[in-house]
Amino acid sequence: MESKVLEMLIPMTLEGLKTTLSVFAITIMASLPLSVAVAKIRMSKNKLISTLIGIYIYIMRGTPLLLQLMFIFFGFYYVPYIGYAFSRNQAIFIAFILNYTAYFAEIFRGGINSIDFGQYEASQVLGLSKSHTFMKIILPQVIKNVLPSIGNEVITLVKDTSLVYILGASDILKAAKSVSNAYSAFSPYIFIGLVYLAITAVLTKVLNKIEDKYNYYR
Amino acid sequence: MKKFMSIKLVALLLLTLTLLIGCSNNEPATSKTPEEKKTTYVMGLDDTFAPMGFRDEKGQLIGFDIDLANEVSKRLGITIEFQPIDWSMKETELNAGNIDFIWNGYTITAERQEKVAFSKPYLENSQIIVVLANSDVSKKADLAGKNVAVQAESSALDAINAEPEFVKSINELVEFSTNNEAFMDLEAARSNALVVDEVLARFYMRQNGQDKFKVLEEDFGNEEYGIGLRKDDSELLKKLDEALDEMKKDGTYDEIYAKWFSEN
Amino acid sequence: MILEVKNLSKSFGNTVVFEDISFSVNKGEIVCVKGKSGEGKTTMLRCINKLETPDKGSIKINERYLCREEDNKMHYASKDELQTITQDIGLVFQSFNLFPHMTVMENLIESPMFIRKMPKEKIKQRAYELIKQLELEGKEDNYPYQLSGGQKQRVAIARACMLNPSILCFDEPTSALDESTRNQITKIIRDLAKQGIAIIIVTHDNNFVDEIAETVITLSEGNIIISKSNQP
Repeated sequence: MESKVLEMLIPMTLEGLKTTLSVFAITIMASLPLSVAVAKIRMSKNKLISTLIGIYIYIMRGTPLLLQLMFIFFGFYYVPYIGYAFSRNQAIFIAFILNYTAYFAEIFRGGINSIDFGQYEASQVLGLSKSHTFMKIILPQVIKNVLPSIGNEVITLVKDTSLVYILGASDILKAAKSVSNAYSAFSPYIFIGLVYLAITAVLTKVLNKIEDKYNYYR
Repeated sequence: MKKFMSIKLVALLLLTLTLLIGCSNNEPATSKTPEEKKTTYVMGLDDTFAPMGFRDEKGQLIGFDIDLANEVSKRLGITIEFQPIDWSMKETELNAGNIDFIWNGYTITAERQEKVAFSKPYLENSQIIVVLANSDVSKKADLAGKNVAVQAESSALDAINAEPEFVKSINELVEFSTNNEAFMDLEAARSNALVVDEVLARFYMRQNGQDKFKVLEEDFGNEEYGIGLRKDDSELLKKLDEALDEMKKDGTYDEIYAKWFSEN
Repeated sequence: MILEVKNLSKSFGNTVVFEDISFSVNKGEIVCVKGKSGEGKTTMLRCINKLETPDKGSIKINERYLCREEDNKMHYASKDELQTITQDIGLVFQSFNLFPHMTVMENLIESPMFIRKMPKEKIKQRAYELIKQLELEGKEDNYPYQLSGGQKQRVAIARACMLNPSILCFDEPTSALDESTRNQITKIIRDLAKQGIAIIIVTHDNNFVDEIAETVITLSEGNIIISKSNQP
């Protein structure tokens, strides 16, 4: 790669990393706890609430994230009564959190369902409360079970952050595009591909560490 | 009890979302409510469109349109913020009020005139046909059964579609999100020709080796660039037109033109 | 009398599981409940341990009603009453249902730590007593997957005994055991009974019943036959 291309690409990539990593981190930090709550509500005995959550999950999983980004930024303003003009960053965070919460919630729902009912009965006989049972007995086992699926989604999220281009945000892929257009060169795209691979490598390491940590029992 | 817990969870969910919305970066949601003495305007552009508006090696926005806009802002005593947008979203961004004008090699077409108000044209351009230097294509008719690349949502695409017989004669019209990608496709010889704004094509070819390409004599017609505004923004439109006229009269426009385009 | 069951009935939909059964259990008594599978013996045990809700009749544990029928209406224990009754009765599941992510010690102290505002040291002291009594020394930091079937069962018994219950229930305790562990469990159950704990064992293992039971309750087609054995 020519040095003048690199000279432009490195600072722009660092700038783009701020967007890519903040979308990634905020989405993870908000969606993981939210999704546990959503999964619980989805499994609630209240038909109305669980159906509403079911519809929300259906919409989030049944439409492209790109479309959701466009809807929240451009379209939500025109929704009667609750319409509101979100800023670009708000729209990005809301769309990503809503979307990933839905995916994570379905994973957690499967995980919660996979726990042997005997665990609930043992807790009940021992006099543990419902919330204590969930937090201390069920959830730790669920987390161990769902870690591989969560890990998959986390890595997908890294790549999905590139969709923010539709709202004009400048992530690392956009940095590559800018440099590519300024110098009419393809090499910036290869460079950014390597950056994605590096991020994924670090995450894979971290995810394996967490899985190891949960391997203390079988 | 169970019901109560669900309600608590819903409340928690809403609270978290509200907090997130509250904390996330506050870029003002721009001009949803037009104020009387507005002095800051948001200009939407595809910041990868060289040489009209693109990034230099430091990541700063540069280009012919950027220089013009900066000059205009000085003359009108306003501030112009540059907001990168996805080019396919430009009219949506404009009409939603997220940006105040589109100024980025924005070709005046009849179709667009229905949606936006255009300033007076400030630059002439034509939609040229570029092929590889070793190509045996020398006129439009030679492209029958071949693939033609073009930028999606571009005026080049509109110009091609204005000639339906041509569209019918070719194999496929391949749309790319940027002209750069379209050029790469041509270089890879997957597309046999590229229809593109002349200003951009000349810039690209200068960068990438003039001798790799040739430009056909036939083209898809001349066109003019203008600034696109919301239809109800007639006051701003008048001011922009006056400033551009002034710049043409006192030679500033020519200075900027000479900086970006060679005459030959 | 520690447990008194009167006129208890339970059905699932249109299927009657058992109807109008009554019996009582005294302090330190070992009662075996026999019957073919599907005769409702486990369901009855689950009713006593409030894992199922009976349709009719009453269950009284240590003078407190888990449920009772009055004027043809069922009254169930309130949440507070349940909390007290829970501490008076323990259940050892057929599949033990230990918490796999917790060590033996953590399994034992989880419930007392939650229910009783007692210092952790006192609770641990009680756990060590039971670990010794049930010959689980050295296993307190092991996880359930590291234990044999017999050891898991003893952990489950210890866990159920942590709150000093008056009644201890076993669901098919011999189903997964070999000869030697079987003898061990027989001895443990006798020891517990000697301490005054009432024992209720649901099983279809007739040899085991002959060996251990003082009272045998046979469930058949929803009704029961009570017989005293000649056990000492």
